[in-house]
Amino acid sequence: MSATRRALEEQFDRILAEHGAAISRLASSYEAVAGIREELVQEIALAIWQALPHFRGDCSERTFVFRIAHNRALSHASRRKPVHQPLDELGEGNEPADPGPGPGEHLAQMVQRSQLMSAIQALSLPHRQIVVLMLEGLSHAEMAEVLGISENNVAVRLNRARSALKQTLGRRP
Amino acid sequence: MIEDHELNSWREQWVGVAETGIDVHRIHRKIRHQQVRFVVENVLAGVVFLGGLILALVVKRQESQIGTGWAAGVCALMVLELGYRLWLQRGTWRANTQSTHAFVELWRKRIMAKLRMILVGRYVALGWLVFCALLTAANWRSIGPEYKLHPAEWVVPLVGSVLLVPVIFGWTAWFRRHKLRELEEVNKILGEIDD
Repeated sequence: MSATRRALEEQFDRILAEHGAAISRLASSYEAVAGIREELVQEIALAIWQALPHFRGDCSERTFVFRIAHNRALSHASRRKPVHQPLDELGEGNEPADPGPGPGEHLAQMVQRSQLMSAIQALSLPHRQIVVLMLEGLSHAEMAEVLGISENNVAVRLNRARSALKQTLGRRP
Repeated sequence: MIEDHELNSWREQWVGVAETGIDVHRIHRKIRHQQVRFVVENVLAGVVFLGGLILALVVKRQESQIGTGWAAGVCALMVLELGYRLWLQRGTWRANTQSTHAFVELWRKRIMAKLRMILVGRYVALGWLVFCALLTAANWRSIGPEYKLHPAEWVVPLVGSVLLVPVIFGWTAWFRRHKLRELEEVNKILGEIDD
């Protein structure tokens, strides 16, 4: 195995370790069915691997990863009709990373998370994208780079997306 | 600095959302499979290309204009195919690393290119048949006696060529419908993004 290839593999493994959870969450916002979501995550990881040799550092690694992840997820979403995650599907494959203190609180947290995810999945595509980027903590400049729009547009879209998310969450029981 | 409690609360919930986890071993396995497939595909494409050239050389050795005509036709088709493949991919390399807007624009461009290819493909298929018919007519003096001696040998490829037309048209019609649906979807996405 050549040194370049080994270096690439190391970089790839590091990217997956650093951004794997974010990729997984992003996939959840596009795909509610666990098995298919896993396939989507694999698809995104493969696309990152394919693009990695051409990464020249002209944007941050995080922007690079999110661009690829969103583009793959977009192609995936166009092939599939959206399936929203029903609230009663809280158990299998949906265990939170940190179960929290008591059982009552734990359940309340799970319901909240599920409601948030369900509301995000119900958003229109541009709103969903920007909300995911916002929740992942990207700056306006980074969001603009991922989406290919100006920072002003990011601010406007973000405002609208937050209102839409609040409205959707408000409608849920 | 003003605290955005709503956002903080959403972020807290978001970070706790279930993670399916990334199976790194499975990804590495997929990468290896993909590399093997890439090599096999390229070897196959090379074999087909070389096979085409050898076929062209073999038919050119026949002592009639028809051999030269066939060779020229096969070579032209090969060049056309190669040119089309390169043309289809122009500006679309590494589409995944582009911004969402650029990615969707490229996606649209590729669909448009494929739709144009379908149209051109139909004309090429018809042109090829007309070319063969003209070549046969021009060489009828040498083909005629042979046809009379072994008619079955000539009828089968002739019927095959004619039957190929509805097959090509049927397939391109299906492919066009499929691409038009995809174009509609992409236009919708682009409309939403530009909104």
